[in-house]
Amino acid sequence: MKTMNLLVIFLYALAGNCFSQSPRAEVHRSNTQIIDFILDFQEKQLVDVAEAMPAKKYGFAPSGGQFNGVRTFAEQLKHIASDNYLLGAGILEEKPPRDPGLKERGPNSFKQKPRSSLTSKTPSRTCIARRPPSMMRSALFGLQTSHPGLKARQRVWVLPLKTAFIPGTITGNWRNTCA
Amino acid sequence: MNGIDPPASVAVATAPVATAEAGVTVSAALDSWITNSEKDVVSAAEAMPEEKYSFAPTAGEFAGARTFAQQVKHLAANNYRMAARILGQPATPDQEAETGPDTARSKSEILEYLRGSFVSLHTSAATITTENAVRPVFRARVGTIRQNTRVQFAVDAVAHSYDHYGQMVEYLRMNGIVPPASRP
Repeated sequence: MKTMNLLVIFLYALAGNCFSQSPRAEVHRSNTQIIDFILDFQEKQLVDVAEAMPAKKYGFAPSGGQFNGVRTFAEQLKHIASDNYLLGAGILEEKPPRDPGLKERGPNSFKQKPRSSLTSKTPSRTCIARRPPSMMRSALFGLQTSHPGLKARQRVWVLPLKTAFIPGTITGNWRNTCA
Repeated sequence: MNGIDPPASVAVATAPVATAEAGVTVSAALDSWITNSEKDVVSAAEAMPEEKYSFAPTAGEFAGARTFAQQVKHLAANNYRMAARILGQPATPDQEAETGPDTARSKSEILEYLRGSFVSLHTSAATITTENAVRPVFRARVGTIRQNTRVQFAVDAVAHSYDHYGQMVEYLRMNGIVPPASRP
């Protein structure tokens, strides 16, 4: 019986060792998958925040203290999205698909009058308010599609160059959302 | 943006050799962002007067928000934690808890803890290579999608630092202080 117990313990230990070293557990994720993991996280955080702010508050900027000249909430989002377009295009070595605007402020076209479907007492602000979240999604999608493009061109080895863009995008998002 | 060349000015290499000639490595690319975040964060921590280290906002919805000191210690603790992860080493309990040590209480002690966290990150980032950047550091639990590569840990540290840097900026401005990195 004692021998049987020892055998069972041995088999358990062996099985655990084998399972822990199974190829499945050691599967490597590709560069693209890893960058997408990071971008997905960023996208959720940012778009959730953008959607959480009421449209009427998109023009908000802190006052009191020392907040002279800081961006409004809408301007923060447009700046982030503009940067994403620029960096996504940089990864692909292409022109940005959307107007980054002067000093990465985003396109001025977002100030145009809203579509008739939008109802608001302050239509221009509502239009601005509703565009940044969609712009954000589009910008982040643009970044995500940049990476498969990189892979398709078999330039994964260019990662050292590309990582100079990617952390910039991500940290820019965090920083500008909160700062 | 800080320290990023415009896309058009980035010469794209056509072979790995050319990339090496350009002098851009994974560790250098990541380290440049660790340095950027270090400059912003440390200068912000230095700019806050010691008597304001216990400040936390009260108006609006700030219930349970960290004090300035807790923001800095939390940021630094995660830096140490990610630096350890990159090296495949265990973090200390206060790093895992992302609180930092209870012994760091004064401004000078917290600043020392903060600066040390970036030293650890620089040291760890220097070990990241093209070969090991996306290789799992720890044995992955099957079915999990948690980050488990050196490049992710490094990016986590920088992104997290900027997350809390943004909050430090708000605290500074609420106290009438323009962050050094934002001054003309």
